[in-house]
Amino acid sequence: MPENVQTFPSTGLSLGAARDAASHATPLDDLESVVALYQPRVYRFLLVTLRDRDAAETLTQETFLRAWTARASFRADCSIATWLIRIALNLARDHTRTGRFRFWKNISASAVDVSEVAASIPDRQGSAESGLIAREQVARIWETVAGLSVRQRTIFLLRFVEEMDIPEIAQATGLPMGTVKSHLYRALAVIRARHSPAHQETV
Amino acid sequence: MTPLNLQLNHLTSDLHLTSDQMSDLLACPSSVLEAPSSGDSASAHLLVCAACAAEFASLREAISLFQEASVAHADREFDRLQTLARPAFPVLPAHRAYPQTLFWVAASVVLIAGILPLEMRWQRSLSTTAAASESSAAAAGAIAKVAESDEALLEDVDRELSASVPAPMQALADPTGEDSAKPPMQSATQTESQRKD
Repeated sequence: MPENVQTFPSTGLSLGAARDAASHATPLDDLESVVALYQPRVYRFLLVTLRDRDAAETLTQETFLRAWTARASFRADCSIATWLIRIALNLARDHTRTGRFRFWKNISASAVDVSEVAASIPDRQGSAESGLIAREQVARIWETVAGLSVRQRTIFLLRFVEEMDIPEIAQATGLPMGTVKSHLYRALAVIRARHSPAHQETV
Repeated sequence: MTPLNLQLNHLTSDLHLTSDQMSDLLACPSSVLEAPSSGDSASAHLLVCAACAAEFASLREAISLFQEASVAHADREFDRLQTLARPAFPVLPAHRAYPQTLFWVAASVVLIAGILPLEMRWQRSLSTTAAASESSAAAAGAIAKVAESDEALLEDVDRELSASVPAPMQALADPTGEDSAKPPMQSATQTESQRKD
């Protein structure tokens, strides 16, 4: 554990928890390694969720701060990644709860633009036309995801960007698996309707 | 899906996957799709229904592109942050240093903002008091001067009034030298008494 981390204020950490943290070794004690390993992932999840660079950066820091502070409560009943995503998710939810976030997001210079994301598709050596179609598809999904409810969006992003399976998503969100599935299916139904409006549904 | 529907899906391509079936297929990992179990009717339907297969492929492709683009964009942003002048994600120490510095800066600003108007008001009141006292002193001086000159004028007037005979009206000196010391009234009386005798 880095020396400078030791002096961190124990915000939100009870004395008992602090003693536990000191006495019980946790996988999070090696904070440098944990940060190096999971920081890109946490940042990515927060960036696609919040669509704001500054907010994603700040909340990524906050996630690791909270993780360090509450490391004693990590019981290894889920992976470190899932636990960190859970913290990040709570922070993102608190952050977006206020209307102030939405206001600043609309005028913020650090807001992620859909064209930037669409232009980030790795080059597959395809034709210019196929590249254009791919960018349009990405832009359409990006905009559709923005219109989903918070839960649907979160679960969709955890499944299709973070590639977490349903039980992992249930652990990260604290929702029952059935609820996770239900939200995911509704999100996919919205995306399907937007992506192929003329889809038939007969069975 | 009931066995009857399963049969129907296998036999005809007029019927298509429901929204839930399509979602089920989209949500399951690629490995499951690549090796569908015999009882998996939805994935079996894709083999016989070109429309559903095309729609499924298109949706899967779009979501896959979305994932690739999101990951690539986020990774690029993360790398950009790493290469910025400031240390990328100075996670814990910087987080601790920031609020303290910010706190002191904010406290100083508040203090200055609080003291400065008071100081300015105090200085303004001081200067107005000084100016007022200066002006009152000047006014008092002017009043004193006027009073002094008035006094002098009054003294002159008094002096002139107290004189029995104004200087221009004094009797001229007798050129003969007689009774020059006597007052003119007295000499006139003497002349009259001499005439009676």
